[in-house]
Amino acid sequence: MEVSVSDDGQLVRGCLAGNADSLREFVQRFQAAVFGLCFRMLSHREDAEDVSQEVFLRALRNLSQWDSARPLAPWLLTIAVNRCRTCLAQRVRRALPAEFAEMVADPAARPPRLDLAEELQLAVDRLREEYRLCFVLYHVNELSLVEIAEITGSPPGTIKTWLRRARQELADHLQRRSIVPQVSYDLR
Amino acid sequence: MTCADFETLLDVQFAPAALREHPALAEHAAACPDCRIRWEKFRLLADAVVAWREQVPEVDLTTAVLAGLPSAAAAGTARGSRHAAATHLAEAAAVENPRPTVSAPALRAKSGLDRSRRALVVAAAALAAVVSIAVLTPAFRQASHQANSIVLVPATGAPVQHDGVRQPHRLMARSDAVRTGVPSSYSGLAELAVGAWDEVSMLVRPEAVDPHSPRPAPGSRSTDGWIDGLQDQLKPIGRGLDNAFDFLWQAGQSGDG
Repeated sequence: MEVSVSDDGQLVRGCLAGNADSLREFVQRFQAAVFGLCFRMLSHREDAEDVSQEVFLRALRNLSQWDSARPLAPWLLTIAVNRCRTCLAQRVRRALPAEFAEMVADPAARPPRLDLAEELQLAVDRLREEYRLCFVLYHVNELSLVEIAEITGSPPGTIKTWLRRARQELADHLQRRSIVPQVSYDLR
Repeated sequence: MTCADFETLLDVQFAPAALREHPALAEHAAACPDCRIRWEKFRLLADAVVAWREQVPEVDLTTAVLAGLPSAAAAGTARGSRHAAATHLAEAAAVENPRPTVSAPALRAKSGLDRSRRALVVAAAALAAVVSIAVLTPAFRQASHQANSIVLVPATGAPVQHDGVRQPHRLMARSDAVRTGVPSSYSGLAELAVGAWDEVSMLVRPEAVDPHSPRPAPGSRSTDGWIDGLQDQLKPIGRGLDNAFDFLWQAGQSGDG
């Protein structure tokens, strides 16, 4: 996703002109970043696909509002973050599916042992929304603290704090679940 | 390196690759038991993050997005958007994808709107019925201290006959003001309630010019004409209430109730 602003501007001009190749390039260039964010925030593939599609449609509809002096990816990810938040809010208002309702009804029931990545996703799902968003943007989208601050509208210092707390909670979760490292470390 | 330095560096340098290759952190962790615990915990997290990042499935949204562009452009036009690009996008996408699709969230939102609209009409109608009964029935106009002055009297004003001949009755109060009112039977109240319902429906759904138009076909989304059917359904209920009070009145007069 290392694309210069001038490349972004050229791409956007092509999209605004209705060039089908530019449209296809626009989606293909950013779909991994947008879908990765949505998938990790929502933990549901079909929801992530729906939201990602909606993000691109909204972005293309409002493409003329993009500030050409700034990179395109953060602007697009800002839309994605807002759509993910909306989707999560709607999910809270909806009834829980039966399989999740059973888990909620019995909090003592521990989910079965998962592999390392699944355990981490389980822990990420339990993070506060702000912590989860910072963690995903930092580790999946590889954005800097300043970029995350711009997207979320929070100060960089706050982002740094949220990120540290997210890591701490995730590490504690893995330790509680007695996850064994897959490799042995040489601590020298 | 102190433990505080270790903590700071651990936070700053937390990137899966960088963490593993940072010799100063590893050196301090090897010498400090407390920091070693934190070090191992975060090394585990770093490994988990690496595996977690690799598990994002690959998708190709190009077809779905291009297919959805006409509806997006149409929405932009309907809102008075000044972005001519939307029209360009729609035309370009329509040529490539002649079959537009609607996303699942859009469908859910649309059906939710219809449900809420229907619920609003029903709620308003029910409220109108209750208000009509409360306003038009003299018994409901009584203050709480006058509640014991409510009696059942024959609608005709004639005494009740005990020879098994039923006469319609109604609730009525002793006060002259109420006695001079023209209370109707319960079937009549039902008709008044339906009339009020009719007026409210015109307010809630101004596009429904004639609510007494023929009942819509099954499956149709239009609710025009449902008033008539409802009135037919409410009339028997009102007659049933008349009969019930008639029976209670006679039972009370005979002393066996």
